Amino acid sequence: MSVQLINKAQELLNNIPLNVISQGAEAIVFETQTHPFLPKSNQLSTTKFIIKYRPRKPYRHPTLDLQIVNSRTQSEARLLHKLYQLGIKAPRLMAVDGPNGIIWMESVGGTLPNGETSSLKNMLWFKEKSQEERKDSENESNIALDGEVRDIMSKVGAAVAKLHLANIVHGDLTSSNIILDQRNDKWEPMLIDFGLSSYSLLAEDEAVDLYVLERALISTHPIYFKSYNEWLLQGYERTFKEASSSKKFKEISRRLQDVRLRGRKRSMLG
Amino acid sequence: MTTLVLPQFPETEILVAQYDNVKNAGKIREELVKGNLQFNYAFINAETVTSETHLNSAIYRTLINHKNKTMKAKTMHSELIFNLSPFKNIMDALKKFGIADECSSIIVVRIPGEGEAEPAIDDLDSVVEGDRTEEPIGLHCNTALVKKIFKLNGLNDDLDLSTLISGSIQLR
Repeated sequence: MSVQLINKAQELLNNIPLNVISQGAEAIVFETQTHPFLPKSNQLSTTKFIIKYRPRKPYRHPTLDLQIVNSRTQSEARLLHKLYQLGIKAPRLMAVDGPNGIIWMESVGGTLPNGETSSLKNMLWFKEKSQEERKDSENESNIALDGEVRDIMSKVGAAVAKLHLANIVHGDLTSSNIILDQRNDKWEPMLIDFGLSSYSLLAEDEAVDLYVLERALISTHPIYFKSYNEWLLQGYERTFKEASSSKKFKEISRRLQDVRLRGRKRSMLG
Repeated sequence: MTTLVLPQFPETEILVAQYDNVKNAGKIREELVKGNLQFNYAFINAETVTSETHLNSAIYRTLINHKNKTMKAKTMHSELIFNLSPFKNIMDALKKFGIADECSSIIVVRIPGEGEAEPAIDDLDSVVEGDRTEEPIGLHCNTALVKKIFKLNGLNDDLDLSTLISGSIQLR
């Protein structure tokens, strides 16, 4: 099945060398070194681009399917463009082919010292593993909870807050949908995968975003999630305060308490 | 003059040329209106093109729309000028981004349709009375004008103009 989808993508993107880097239920993500419309001479030879391809679903009515693929592709692309305009760190949009479900964007992040992609998840795992393998652990500070991790988590919180201040909810915040980009020796978080994002003015949706991320942290980093989440929320709160939106922050954090008690799905009773 | 071939459209050889000190802009426009086939090019006002990214993004959009049969304009050349602009109306786009009587710097693009001969620069040189140049695209751009047309004045100055414009072209 997957091979057929990749062949279909290759047919639509003829002449573009494609490397699969991830596949989800909705889309396949490829990597390539070819820019859709700028000549090679304008770029570094190491520059990479990401192509997100939403294949047609054979079980849907063709007319409906085309409309769904087109509108989801367009809305994700529109969001990426909006984020760039707002100065929120996310991949830049390069090209869109709506009816064929294709988005081209800038590739972000790099590799960690252990060769893994620099997602937040891999970074935390790398730090946790380094701490575990250390023998002389007495008297020394914990690598998994060092200043660098603290800085990263608080910046992640700030990034999510910026998004929420623009009334955008991510919809699928996990530690693997946060990519760390190295800038002047510091790691700057960037959010990726806006496939489930939407605009919302409800504190509920923002609270759910935070809750989903919290749950993701609990399940992928069971030992240290408490500190991680605490630092994240500190960064989140600070950014709201700096934007003089304390009121909105209070509302969201009140909602977050509710959501923690009942789960992500609001009961539809009454 | 450059010949541009986009990776996804290896069979389409696109000609891109720039002219300065153009003396017969009015005449070219008249012939275009008449539909003279010798003038089967996109004649673009160089003031409104910010960069190679801006131009190529619109060319890419045009080829994709042509392939998907979602073109708004009748020909690829008017579709290209339409795609360079943020307008919803083709006439507005042609007025602002297309050649005008007082234009002295222009960018000319030819996208050959299926079965059409590859464009020859000599034919174009005989049509445009001006000096063909090899300057980088965007040299004659009136940035303030383009910012106004694309409504980009309220945005942060750190943002890259070409990225902003290319993005909105891709989203049309």
